[in-house]
Amino acid sequence: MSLRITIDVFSGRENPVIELKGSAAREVLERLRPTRRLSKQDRRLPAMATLGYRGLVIEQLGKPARGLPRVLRYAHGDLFGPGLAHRAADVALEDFVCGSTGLVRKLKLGPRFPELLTKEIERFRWIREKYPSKPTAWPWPLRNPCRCAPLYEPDWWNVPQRQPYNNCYNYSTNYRTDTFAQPGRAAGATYAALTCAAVRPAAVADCLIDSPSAYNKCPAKGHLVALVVWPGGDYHWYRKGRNGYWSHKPGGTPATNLDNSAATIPDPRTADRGPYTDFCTFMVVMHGHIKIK
Amino acid sequence: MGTSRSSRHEKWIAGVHIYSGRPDPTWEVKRTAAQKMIRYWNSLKARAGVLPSRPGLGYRGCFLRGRGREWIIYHDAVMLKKAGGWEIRLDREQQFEKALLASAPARLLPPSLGVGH
Repeated sequence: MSLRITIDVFSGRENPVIELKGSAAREVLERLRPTRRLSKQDRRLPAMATLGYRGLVIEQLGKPARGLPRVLRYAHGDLFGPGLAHRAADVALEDFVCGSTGLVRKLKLGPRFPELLTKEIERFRWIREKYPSKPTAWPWPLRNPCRCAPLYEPDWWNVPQRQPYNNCYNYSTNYRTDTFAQPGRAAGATYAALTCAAVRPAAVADCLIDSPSAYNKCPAKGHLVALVVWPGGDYHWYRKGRNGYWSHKPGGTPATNLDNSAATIPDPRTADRGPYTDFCTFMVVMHGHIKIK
Repeated sequence: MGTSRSSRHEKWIAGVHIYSGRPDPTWEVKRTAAQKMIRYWNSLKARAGVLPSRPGLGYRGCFLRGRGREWIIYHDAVMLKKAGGWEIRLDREQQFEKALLASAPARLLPPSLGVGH
Protein backbone atom coordinates (compact mmCIF):
# COMPACT_ATOMS: atom_id res chain seq x y z
CA MET A 1 0.00 0.00 0.00
CA SER A 2 1.41 3.37 -0.98
CA LEU A 3 0.03 6.88 -1.46
CA ARG A 4 1.17 9.89 -3.40
CA ILE A 5 0.08 13.26 -1.97
CA THR A 6 0.50 16.23 -4.28
CA ILE A 7 0.18 19.66 -2.71
CA ASP A 8 -1.61 21.40 -5.57
CA VAL A 9 -0.35 24.94 -5.11
CA PHE A 10 2.04 26.08 -7.81
CA SER A 11 1.47 27.34 -11.30
CA GLY A 12 4.95 27.54 -12.83
CA ARG A 13 6.93 25.25 -10.55
CA GLU A 14 6.19 21.57 -10.10
CA ASN A 15 3.94 20.87 -7.15
CA PRO A 16 5.51 19.33 -4.03
CA VAL A 17 4.89 15.57 -3.79
CA ILE A 18 5.00 13.35 -0.71
CA GLU A 19 5.01 9.56 -1.04
CA LEU A 20 3.95 7.36 1.84
CA LYS A 21 4.14 3.60 2.26
CA GLY A 22 2.95 0.97 4.72
CA SER A 23 1.58 2.12 8.05
CA ALA A 24 2.02 5.83 7.22
CA ALA A 25 -0.11 5.39 4.09
CA ARG A 26 -2.72 3.39 6.03
CA GLU A 27 -2.91 6.14 8.66
CA VAL A 28 -3.64 8.78 6.02
CA LEU A 29 -6.23 6.51 4.38
CA GLU A 30 -7.98 6.20 7.74
CA ARG A 31 -8.00 9.98 8.04
CA LEU A 32 -9.55 10.16 4.56
CA ARG A 33 -12.39 7.75 5.36
CA PRO A 34 -15.60 9.37 4.03
CA THR A 35 -18.23 10.17 6.64
CA ARG A 36 -21.34 12.14 5.72
CA ARG A 37 -22.20 13.19 2.17
CA LEU A 38 -21.82 16.94 1.53
CA SER A 39 -25.12 18.80 1.46
CA LYS A 40 -26.16 21.57 -0.93
CA GLN A 41 -25.18 24.10 1.72
CA ASP A 42 -21.61 22.83 1.91
CA ARG A 43 -18.93 24.60 -0.10
CA ARG A 44 -17.70 22.90 -3.27
CA LEU A 45 -14.62 23.55 -5.35
CA PRO A 46 -14.42 26.69 -7.52
CA ALA A 47 -15.61 26.07 -11.07
CA MET A 48 -12.33 27.37 -12.44
CA ALA A 49 -8.82 26.58 -11.27
CA THR A 50 -7.48 29.46 -9.19
CA LEU A 51 -3.94 30.61 -8.54
CA GLY A 52 -2.43 29.34 -5.30
CA TYR A 53 -3.40 26.40 -3.11
CA ARG A 54 -6.12 24.22 -4.65
CA GLY A 55 -6.13 21.22 -2.33
CA LEU A 56 -4.27 17.95 -1.75
CA VAL A 57 -4.45 15.46 -4.60
CA ILE A 58 -4.27 11.94 -3.18
CA GLU A 59 -3.42 9.00 -5.44
CA GLN A 60 -3.55 5.40 -4.31
CA LEU A 61 -0.73 3.65 -6.12
CA GLY A 62 -1.78 0.10 -5.32
CA LYS A 63 -5.21 -1.48 -5.09
CA PRO A 64 -7.59 1.32 -4.02
CA ALA A 65 -9.13 1.14 -0.55
CA ARG A 66 -12.85 0.44 -0.42
CA GLY A 67 -15.00 3.56 -0.58
CA LEU A 68 -12.28 5.76 -2.08
CA PRO A 69 -11.47 6.33 -5.77
CA ARG A 70 -7.93 5.90 -7.05
CA VAL A 71 -7.50 9.71 -7.24
CA LEU A 72 -9.29 12.24 -5.07
CA ARG A 73 -8.91 15.83 -3.97
CA TYR A 74 -9.00 16.92 -0.32
CA ALA A 75 -9.73 20.50 0.72
CA HIS A 76 -10.61 21.76 4.20
CA GLY A 77 -11.97 18.42 5.36
CA ASP A 78 -13.95 17.77 2.15
CA LEU A 79 -13.31 14.96 -0.33
CA PHE A 80 -13.98 15.24 -4.06
CA GLY A 81 -13.59 12.60 -6.74
CA PRO A 82 -15.59 10.29 -8.99
CA GLY A 83 -18.74 9.52 -7.00
CA LEU A 84 -17.26 11.29 -4.01
CA ALA A 85 -18.39 14.52 -2.33
CA HIS A 86 -18.07 13.73 1.34
CA ARG A 87 -16.68 15.00 4.61
CA ALA A 88 -13.50 13.16 5.62
CA ALA A 89 -12.99 11.53 9.02
CA ASP A 90 -10.12 13.95 9.67
CA VAL A 91 -10.99 17.55 8.85
CA ALA A 92 -7.45 18.70 9.72
CA LEU A 93 -5.44 16.56 7.31
CA GLU A 94 -3.95 19.69 5.76
CA ASP A 95 -2.40 20.55 9.10
CA PHE A 96 -1.04 17.00 9.36
CA VAL A 97 0.53 17.30 5.91
CA CYS A 98 1.33 21.00 5.50
CA GLY A 99 1.65 22.40 9.02
CA SER A 100 4.92 23.49 10.63
CA THR A 101 5.38 19.99 12.10
CA GLY A 102 3.76 18.20 9.16
CA LEU A 103 5.02 15.82 6.50
CA VAL A 104 5.95 18.73 4.23
CA ARG A 105 9.03 19.42 6.41
CA LYS A 106 10.73 16.44 4.79
CA LEU A 107 10.67 18.13 1.38
CA LYS A 108 13.16 20.85 2.32
CA LEU A 109 11.25 23.64 0.64
CA GLY A 110 12.57 26.23 3.06
CA PRO A 111 11.64 27.22 6.61
CA ARG A 112 8.97 29.67 5.45
CA PHE A 113 7.14 27.24 3.19
CA PRO A 114 4.81 25.70 5.82
CA GLU A 115 3.81 29.18 6.98
CA LEU A 116 3.16 30.31 3.41
CA LEU A 117 1.18 27.16 2.72
CA THR A 118 -0.94 27.63 5.83
CA LYS A 119 -1.83 31.14 4.66
CA GLU A 120 -2.63 29.76 1.22
CA ILE A 121 -4.92 27.09 2.67
CA GLU A 122 -6.88 29.80 4.47
CA ARG A 123 -6.98 31.94 1.33
CA PHE A 124 -8.41 28.99 -0.61
CA ARG A 125 -11.08 28.54 2.09
CA TRP A 126 -12.11 32.14 1.41
CA ILE A 127 -12.06 31.53 -2.37
CA ARG A 128 -14.31 28.49 -1.97
CA GLU A 129 -16.82 30.69 -0.19
CA LYS A 130 -16.54 33.51 -2.68
CA TYR A 131 -16.27 31.85 -6.07
CA PRO A 132 -19.34 30.38 -7.71
CA SER A 133 -18.87 26.61 -7.75
CA LYS A 134 -21.08 26.01 -10.75
CA PRO A 135 -21.30 28.78 -13.34
CA THR A 136 -23.76 26.65 -15.27
CA ALA A 137 -26.11 26.88 -12.31
CA TRP A 138 -27.03 30.43 -13.21
CA PRO A 139 -30.76 30.85 -12.98
CA TRP A 140 -32.09 29.82 -16.35
CA PRO A 141 -34.11 31.21 -17.89
CA LEU A 142 -34.26 34.58 -16.20
CA ARG A 143 -37.57 36.46 -16.22
CA ASN A 144 -36.28 38.56 -19.06
CA PRO A 145 -34.15 36.30 -21.28
CA CYS A 146 -32.15 38.08 -23.92
CA ARG A 147 -32.89 36.03 -26.98
CA CYS A 148 -31.01 38.29 -29.40
CA ALA A 149 -27.96 38.75 -27.19
CA PRO A 150 -24.62 37.09 -27.96
CA LEU A 151 -23.65 33.86 -26.27
CA TYR A 152 -20.95 33.93 -23.64
CA GLU A 153 -18.16 32.23 -25.58
CA PRO A 154 -14.82 33.21 -24.00
CA ASP A 155 -13.02 30.30 -25.66
CA TRP A 156 -13.57 31.93 -29.03
CA TRP A 157 -12.08 35.28 -27.93
CA ASN A 158 -9.34 34.05 -25.60
CA VAL A 159 -6.89 32.73 -28.19
CA PRO A 160 -3.56 34.29 -29.23
CA GLN A 161 -4.75 35.35 -32.69
CA ARG A 162 -7.72 37.35 -31.29
CA GLN A 163 -7.31 38.14 -27.60
CA PRO A 164 -4.50 40.76 -27.73
CA TYR A 165 -5.95 42.66 -30.69
CA ASN A 166 -9.55 43.08 -29.55
CA ASN A 167 -10.58 45.14 -26.55
CA CYS A 168 -13.71 45.73 -24.47
CA TYR A 169 -15.34 47.71 -27.30
CA ASN A 170 -14.82 44.85 -29.77
CA TYR A 171 -16.10 42.31 -27.28
CA SER A 172 -19.12 44.26 -26.13
CA THR A 173 -20.24 44.98 -29.68
CA ASN A 174 -19.38 41.37 -30.64
CA TYR A 175 -17.37 42.73 -33.56
CA ARG A 176 -13.87 41.50 -34.19
CA THR A 177 -11.63 44.03 -35.94
CA ASP A 178 -8.17 43.04 -34.62
CA THR A 179 -7.49 46.79 -34.29
CA PHE A 180 -8.25 47.46 -30.61
CA ALA A 181 -11.29 49.42 -31.81
CA GLN A 182 -11.91 52.92 -30.50
CA PRO A 183 -15.31 54.58 -30.17
CA GLY A 184 -15.83 57.05 -33.01
CA ARG A 185 -12.72 56.13 -34.99
CA ALA A 186 -14.63 54.55 -37.88
CA ALA A 187 -16.81 57.66 -38.13
CA GLY A 188 -13.95 60.15 -37.76
CA ALA A 189 -15.38 61.26 -34.42
CA THR A 190 -12.99 59.84 -31.82
CA TYR A 191 -13.56 61.00 -28.24
CA ALA A 192 -11.46 63.95 -27.11
CA ALA A 193 -11.66 63.34 -23.36
CA LEU A 194 -12.15 60.41 -21.05
CA THR A 195 -15.52 61.38 -19.70
CA CYS A 196 -18.99 59.97 -20.22
CA ALA A 197 -19.93 63.15 -22.08
CA ALA A 198 -17.11 62.60 -24.60
CA VAL A 199 -17.13 58.83 -25.14
CA ARG A 200 -20.90 58.44 -25.40
CA PRO A 201 -21.27 60.58 -28.61
CA ALA A 202 -18.24 58.84 -30.12
CA ALA A 203 -20.04 55.50 -29.77
CA VAL A 204 -23.25 57.02 -31.11
CA ALA A 205 -21.25 58.09 -34.18
CA ASP A 206 -20.47 54.37 -34.68
CA CYS A 207 -24.27 53.81 -34.71
CA LEU A 208 -24.67 52.41 -31.20
CA ILE A 209 -28.02 53.56 -29.84
CA ASP A 210 -27.90 55.44 -26.57
CA SER A 211 -30.51 53.89 -24.27
CA PRO A 212 -30.09 55.39 -20.80
CA SER A 213 -33.57 54.26 -19.82
CA ALA A 214 -32.93 50.61 -20.74
CA TYR A 215 -32.50 49.99 -17.02
CA ASN A 216 -30.74 46.64 -17.53
CA LYS A 217 -33.61 45.29 -19.65
CA CYS A 218 -32.88 43.48 -22.88
CA PRO A 219 -34.04 45.28 -26.02
CA ALA A 220 -36.53 43.61 -28.37
CA LYS A 221 -33.86 43.67 -31.08
CA GLY A 222 -30.09 43.80 -30.85
CA HIS A 223 -28.25 43.48 -27.56
CA LEU A 224 -27.49 45.66 -24.58
CA VAL A 225 -24.05 47.07 -23.74
CA ALA A 226 -22.96 49.38 -20.94
CA LEU A 227 -20.38 52.17 -20.95
CA VAL A 228 -18.37 53.06 -17.84
CA VAL A 229 -15.53 55.52 -17.45
CA TRP A 230 -12.42 55.80 -15.32
CA PRO A 231 -12.45 59.60 -15.14
CA GLY A 232 -9.47 60.95 -17.04
CA GLY A 233 -8.00 57.44 -17.42
CA ASP A 234 -9.94 55.13 -19.72
CA TYR A 235 -13.37 53.81 -20.66
CA HIS A 236 -14.75 50.27 -20.49
CA TRP A 237 -17.67 48.32 -21.95
CA TYR A 238 -19.75 45.37 -20.78
CA ARG A 239 -22.24 43.32 -22.78
CA LYS A 240 -25.37 41.56 -21.61
CA GLY A 241 -25.48 37.91 -22.62
CA ARG A 242 -28.26 35.57 -23.64
CA ASN A 243 -28.61 34.25 -20.09
CA GLY A 244 -29.21 37.76 -18.74
CA TYR A 245 -25.79 38.09 -17.13
CA TRP A 246 -23.04 40.45 -18.21
CA SER A 247 -19.50 39.72 -19.37
CA HIS A 248 -16.57 41.85 -20.49
CA LYS A 249 -13.02 41.81 -21.81
CA PRO A 250 -10.56 44.08 -19.99
CA GLY A 251 -8.31 45.34 -22.79
CA GLY A 252 -6.11 42.62 -24.25
CA THR A 253 -6.80 40.25 -21.36
CA PRO A 254 -9.24 37.31 -21.53
CA ALA A 255 -13.00 37.77 -21.73
CA THR A 256 -14.64 36.94 -18.41
CA ASN A 257 -18.06 36.89 -16.75
CA LEU A 258 -16.66 37.94 -13.38
CA ASP A 259 -16.10 41.39 -11.91
CA ASN A 260 -13.07 42.61 -9.92
CA SER A 261 -14.37 40.76 -6.85
CA ALA A 262 -14.75 37.49 -8.80
CA ALA A 263 -18.54 37.80 -8.67
CA THR A 264 -20.92 37.23 -11.57
CA ILE A 265 -22.46 40.39 -12.99
CA PRO A 266 -26.26 40.66 -12.96
CA ASP A 267 -26.01 44.46 -13.35
CA PRO A 268 -22.87 46.43 -14.30
CA ARG A 269 -24.09 49.40 -12.27
CA THR A 270 -23.52 47.43 -9.08
CA ALA A 271 -20.47 45.38 -10.17
CA ASP A 272 -16.99 45.89 -8.71
CA ARG A 273 -15.52 47.94 -11.57
CA GLY A 274 -12.15 48.89 -10.05
CA PRO A 275 -11.18 52.40 -11.12
CA TYR A 276 -14.04 52.70 -13.68
CA THR A 277 -16.22 54.52 -11.18
CA ASP A 278 -18.55 56.43 -13.50
CA PHE A 279 -21.45 54.50 -14.93
CA CYS A 280 -22.39 56.40 -18.12
CA THR A 281 -25.24 54.69 -19.90
CA PHE A 282 -26.71 51.60 -21.47
CA MET A 283 -26.60 51.37 -25.26
CA VAL A 284 -28.12 49.01 -27.83
CA VAL A 285 -26.07 47.32 -30.54
CA MET A 286 -28.17 46.49 -33.61
CA HIS A 287 -26.38 43.64 -35.33
CA GLY A 288 -25.06 44.67 -38.72
CA HIS A 289 -25.82 48.36 -38.17
CA ILE A 290 -22.69 49.47 -36.37
CA LYS A 291 -19.26 50.19 -37.81
CA ILE A 292 -16.21 50.21 -35.59
CA LYS A 293 -12.50 50.31 -36.25
CA MET B 1 28.58 40.27 -35.74
CA GLY B 2 25.85 42.16 -37.50
CA THR B 3 23.31 40.60 -35.21
CA SER B 4 25.08 41.65 -32.06
CA ARG B 5 25.51 45.21 -33.31
CA SER B 6 21.80 45.53 -34.18
CA SER B 7 20.91 43.92 -30.87
CA ARG B 8 23.08 46.47 -29.03
CA HIS B 9 21.19 49.28 -30.71
CA GLU B 10 17.78 47.75 -30.18
CA LYS B 11 15.42 49.99 -28.22
CA TRP B 12 14.27 49.18 -24.72
CA ILE B 13 10.50 49.50 -24.50
CA ALA B 14 8.46 49.67 -21.32
CA GLY B 15 4.71 49.67 -20.85
CA VAL B 16 1.93 49.38 -18.34
CA HIS B 17 -0.98 46.93 -18.43
CA ILE B 18 -3.75 49.18 -17.17
CA TYR B 19 -6.39 50.20 -19.67
CA SER B 20 -9.31 48.36 -21.19
CA GLY B 21 -10.53 50.56 -24.01
CA ARG B 22 -7.47 52.66 -24.83
CA PRO B 23 -4.23 51.04 -25.89
CA ASP B 24 -1.91 50.61 -22.93
CA PRO B 25 0.81 53.28 -22.68
CA THR B 26 4.34 52.37 -23.80
CA TRP B 27 7.56 54.35 -23.86
CA GLU B 28 11.23 54.02 -24.68
CA VAL B 29 13.63 53.48 -21.79
CA LYS B 30 17.19 54.83 -21.97
CA ARG B 31 19.80 52.13 -22.35
CA THR B 32 21.60 53.18 -19.16
CA ALA B 33 18.37 53.03 -17.17
CA ALA B 34 17.52 49.60 -18.60
CA GLN B 35 21.01 48.30 -17.77
CA LYS B 36 20.60 49.57 -14.19
CA MET B 37 17.31 47.67 -13.88
CA ILE B 38 18.92 44.52 -15.24
CA ARG B 39 21.77 44.80 -12.73
CA TYR B 40 19.12 45.10 -10.04
CA TRP B 41 17.33 42.01 -11.45
CA ASN B 42 20.60 40.09 -11.27
CA SER B 43 20.81 40.88 -7.54
CA LEU B 44 17.32 39.51 -6.79
CA LYS B 45 16.67 36.04 -5.40
CA ALA B 46 14.15 33.48 -6.61
CA ARG B 47 10.57 34.05 -5.49
CA ALA B 48 8.64 31.08 -4.14
CA GLY B 49 4.94 30.85 -3.47
CA VAL B 50 1.82 32.20 -5.06
CA LEU B 51 1.93 35.14 -7.39
CA PRO B 52 -0.04 38.20 -6.30
CA SER B 53 -3.48 38.11 -7.91
CA ARG B 54 -4.07 40.77 -10.52
CA PRO B 55 -7.41 42.55 -10.91
CA GLY B 56 -9.41 42.35 -14.14
CA LEU B 57 -9.83 46.09 -14.43
CA GLY B 58 -7.18 48.66 -13.53
CA TYR B 59 -3.41 48.31 -13.02
CA ARG B 60 -2.27 44.78 -13.89
CA GLY B 61 1.50 45.28 -13.96
CA CYS B 62 4.20 46.66 -16.25
CA PHE B 63 6.81 45.27 -18.63
CA LEU B 64 10.29 45.90 -20.01
CA ARG B 65 11.35 44.50 -23.39
CA GLY B 66 14.61 44.63 -25.27
CA ARG B 67 17.37 42.52 -26.80
CA GLY B 68 15.01 39.60 -27.14
CA ARG B 69 14.17 39.55 -23.45
CA GLU B 70 10.99 40.51 -21.62
CA TRP B 71 10.26 41.10 -17.95
CA ILE B 72 6.78 41.42 -16.47
CA ILE B 73 6.55 43.07 -13.09
CA TYR B 74 3.66 43.18 -10.67
CA HIS B 75 4.34 44.38 -7.15
CA ASP B 76 6.97 42.08 -5.57
CA ALA B 77 7.08 39.58 -8.44
CA VAL B 78 9.55 40.21 -11.30
CA MET B 79 9.24 37.63 -14.06
CA LEU B 80 11.66 37.04 -16.91
CA LYS B 81 10.24 35.19 -19.89
CA LYS B 82 12.24 32.07 -20.71
CA ALA B 83 11.77 29.32 -23.23
CA GLY B 84 9.00 27.22 -21.78
CA GLY B 85 8.15 29.39 -18.78
CA TRP B 86 9.12 32.24 -16.49
CA GLU B 87 11.91 32.85 -14.02
CA ILE B 88 10.36 34.62 -11.05
CA ARG B 89 12.32 36.67 -8.54
CA LEU B 90 11.29 38.43 -5.37
CA ASP B 91 11.55 42.20 -5.17
CA ARG B 92 10.32 42.90 -1.66
CA GLU B 93 10.87 46.66 -1.96
CA GLN B 94 9.31 46.72 -5.44
CA GLN B 95 12.25 48.80 -6.66
CA PHE B 96 12.12 47.35 -10.19
CA GLU B 97 8.48 48.34 -10.61
CA LYS B 98 9.04 51.80 -9.12
CA ALA B 99 12.10 52.46 -11.31
CA LEU B 100 10.32 51.31 -14.44
CA LEU B 101 7.22 53.42 -13.80
CA ALA B 102 9.41 56.39 -12.91
CA SER B 103 11.10 56.12 -16.32
CA ALA B 104 7.83 56.99 -18.09
CA PRO B 105 7.57 60.43 -19.66
CA ALA B 106 5.75 63.03 -17.62
CA ARG B 107 1.95 62.81 -17.69
CA LEU B 108 1.91 59.56 -19.68
CA LEU B 109 0.65 57.48 -16.77
CA PRO B 110 -2.51 58.20 -14.77
CA PRO B 111 -1.97 59.92 -11.42
CA SER B 112 -3.57 56.95 -9.61
CA LEU B 113 -0.34 55.00 -10.20
CA GLY B 114 1.39 57.40 -7.83
CA VAL B 115 4.31 58.13 -10.12
CA GLY B 116 5.44 61.58 -9.13
CA HIS B 117 5.88 63.46 -12.39
